[in-house]
Amino acid sequence: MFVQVNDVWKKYPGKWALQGVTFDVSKGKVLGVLGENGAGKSTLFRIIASVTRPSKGNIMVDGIPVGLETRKIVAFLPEINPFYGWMKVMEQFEFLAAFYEGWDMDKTRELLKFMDLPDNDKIGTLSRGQQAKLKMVFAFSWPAKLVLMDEPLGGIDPPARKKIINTFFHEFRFGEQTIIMSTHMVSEVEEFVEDVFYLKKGKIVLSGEADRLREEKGTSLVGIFEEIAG
Amino acid sequence: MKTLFVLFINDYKRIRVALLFLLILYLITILFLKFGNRQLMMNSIPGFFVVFMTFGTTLAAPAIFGLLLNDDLKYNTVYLLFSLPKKRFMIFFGKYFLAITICLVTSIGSSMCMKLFQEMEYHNDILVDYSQLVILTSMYVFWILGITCFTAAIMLSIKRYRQVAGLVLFVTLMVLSYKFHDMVEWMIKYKIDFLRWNIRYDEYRVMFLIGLFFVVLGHYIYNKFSEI
Repeated sequence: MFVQVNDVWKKYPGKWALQGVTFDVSKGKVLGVLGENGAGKSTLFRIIASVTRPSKGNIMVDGIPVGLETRKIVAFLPEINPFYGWMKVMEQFEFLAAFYEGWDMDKTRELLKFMDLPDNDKIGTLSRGQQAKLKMVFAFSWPAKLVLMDEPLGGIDPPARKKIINTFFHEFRFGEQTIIMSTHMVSEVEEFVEDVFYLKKGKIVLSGEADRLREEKGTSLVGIFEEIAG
Repeated sequence: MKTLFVLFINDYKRIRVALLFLLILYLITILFLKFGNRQLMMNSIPGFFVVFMTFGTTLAAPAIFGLLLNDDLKYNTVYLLFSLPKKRFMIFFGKYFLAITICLVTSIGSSMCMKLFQEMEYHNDILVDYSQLVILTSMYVFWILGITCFTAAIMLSIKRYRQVAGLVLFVTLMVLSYKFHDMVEWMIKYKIDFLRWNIRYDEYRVMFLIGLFFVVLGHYIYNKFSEI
């Protein structure tokens, strides 16, 4: 298994954000993490990205415990805009390229063009949607083995969402990149996720292959999500 | 190696206007104190202008230091910086190097300004000894900067000890303000004797280094233990 999350717990003052979360992801798969606000999705992503420590449990990425070594192969897209507002778009990518092996600057330019993003504007002046697109450009400009996308579609215009996800996953993906993404917009990612699990109050309440779940429940992922959120 | 200075280069670009402004301020102050007609200056230019210039150069160090480092504490950019595949110390190395260099340069600049200021006071037999006040203030500015960085680091990174760190900061500031008040009162009372007293630059440097030590220690603690 490429990603192994084993009995992970995380406690914040007075609250358990994650309670014994366990799951595996095979290499090259696209996993959808679904759940309501406060379910623990972002905490889980932060722990896999090694920017937050779990209170209990362990996580392995490509056979390595999460830490400095795994950060070399993980592209982490948090829900918020993580970039420096005072940097210009290309300056930000030149900055990042210095840290990641195999960064392809030609591909960065190609992705910026595809996303219709200005390369000479300051990041702070871009709209929320443009900043969301910028995060996607970061994730697919270098051969990260694992891409963690926390609510990647927030702020992007509804008509463009499917096209963007489709193009990125099918045309701009570096080989067998494993992708884990969380979203509320289940309908827009339904056709792209292969495995899925639902997180509720820090616990996994349902998991499995997307096709099998649809077959078993006789409804779409949207329907299952609505039923669980109920 | 390149990554060590990536933030350095970008931060330099961001704060170059502030650095330029600071250098001009130094130059004007030093020229003003060194080559100005002292008698005419004291008769025609209000003392507070000179005090303002000298204070300005003293306070520039912590101000630029804060400007440089506050970016790394912002909620969004820590996500990016903490997820980079380098040890945090390595990521921030260039930035800290720049911040400490600025502190050292401004400290030397402030010392020069104060020395010239003191000479001016001596030559003109001025009874109000502003230079002593300035040097005392700057000593405490570095102290407070150091202790604040140190306790803030503990509060930000080791959440369990937040209350303890807050208490340490509060007590330290209380002691410092009492001590400062005490020293200023003492200085004003014996100002005439002070006119012939040589400012303790060695003491100033020790205070500066202690402050700097706490700043570095604070940043070490923050980078070692903090998480998002």
